[in-house]
Amino acid sequence: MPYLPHIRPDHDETLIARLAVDDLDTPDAATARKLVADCPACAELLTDLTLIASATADLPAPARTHDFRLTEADAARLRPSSWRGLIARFRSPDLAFTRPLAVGMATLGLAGLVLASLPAGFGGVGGSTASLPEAALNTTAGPVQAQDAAGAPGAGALAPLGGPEIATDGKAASPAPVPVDRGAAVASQGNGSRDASASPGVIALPAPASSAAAATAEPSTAVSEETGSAPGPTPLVVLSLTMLVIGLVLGGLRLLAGRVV
Amino acid sequence: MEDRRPSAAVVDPVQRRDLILIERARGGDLGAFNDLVELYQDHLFALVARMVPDRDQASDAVQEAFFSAYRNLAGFRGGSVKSWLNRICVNAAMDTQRARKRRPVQPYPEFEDDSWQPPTGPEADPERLVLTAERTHVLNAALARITDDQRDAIVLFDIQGFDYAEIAAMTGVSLGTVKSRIHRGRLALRGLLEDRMELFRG
Repeated sequence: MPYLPHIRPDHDETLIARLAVDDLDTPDAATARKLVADCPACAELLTDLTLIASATADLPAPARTHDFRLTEADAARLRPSSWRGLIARFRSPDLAFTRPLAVGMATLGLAGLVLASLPAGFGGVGGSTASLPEAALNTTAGPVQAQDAAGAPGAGALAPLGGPEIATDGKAASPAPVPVDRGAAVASQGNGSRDASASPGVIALPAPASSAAAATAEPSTAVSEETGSAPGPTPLVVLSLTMLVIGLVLGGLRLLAGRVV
Repeated sequence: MEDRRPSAAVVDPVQRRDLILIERARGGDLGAFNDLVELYQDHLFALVARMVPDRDQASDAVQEAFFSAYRNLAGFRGGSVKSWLNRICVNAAMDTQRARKRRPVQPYPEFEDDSWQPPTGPEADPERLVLTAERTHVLNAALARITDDQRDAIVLFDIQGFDYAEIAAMTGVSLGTVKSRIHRGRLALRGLLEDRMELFRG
């Protein structure tokens, strides 16, 4: 900032500069005019700024020292090659619609993915999410050992689980669904024969050694159960991903086109 | 048959001429593009040379701007060709300024160019001519010493006559920033010229 020794520090020089270009609203203009009327230094500053602006506007144009016309060689070098031309087209006015299209598709794709990831209770699609915990439990747990679950607290919140039932005595039982408290599923070490009342609602998930024979006794049942509930991408996820990818590719091409040209 | 070319709807003869040249250049006519270069190269060099007070760098920036315009013919969206070329040149000048900032600081050379002398006529007052030449010299030297941002704003506003909104669009800053740069730039010039103000008051 210039140092103006003869202007008072409480006099706003920017206000004077704004007055010089008539860039003040009414109250500020009144203040500035009062400053100019009352303070000779401010009046001189205003005069000087106006003179400088006028002299700047009247500066003679610098003379050109070079002819900037393009030669045939320049033109040949600058002419877009096939791929550059193709990409550069994304900046042409004819393809201006690709910008909102890219933004829209990317936004819809993202929104769709978010929607698909929401649990059903939060307004999400839920079809895939509802099956995910069960599937996860199924695949990690394998054959589940029922442990007098009916007597465990929280039995009202039990949900059926598709794994084959193993009786506490280690014998293979029917592959009927076993009630399992999903919220309190904790893996238990050991042989899994502890009484569930000792740890309410807890079910031993890993297959104990004693039940290995039972697991192998009906392998076909276990495999079919697992593959039957394996989660796959829902149509919404596939559609959203496709839209997101298309949107991003379009946006990327437009960005690239900007750099090419 | 209705003519649907953009130039057909333009009434202003200069714009109409420019649009016809652009259309021909887009069709591969290098001569048409060079006609545009001839029409605007003086104006654009004067613009860039004031923003980048180093003659060689200014020349490079203008040449690069015309190259860019030729490459980007397909991207021209209609409107004023002169404004389009102005924008490209301002961008090229700002790129040059940024490139200078990345290198070790080197002040701009002061303009020492005879071509900057005002035109002489038989009736011209020699004393007045000397005064004008000196004023031009000190003002150019002061312009070369203020910041790039302030100089750009002053050149575009005071010399080129663009309004605040146009400058904001060209330089990519807000309206308030443009105004502030103009005000501060003028104050900075005044500070640099304080001892030589008699040249301007005379």
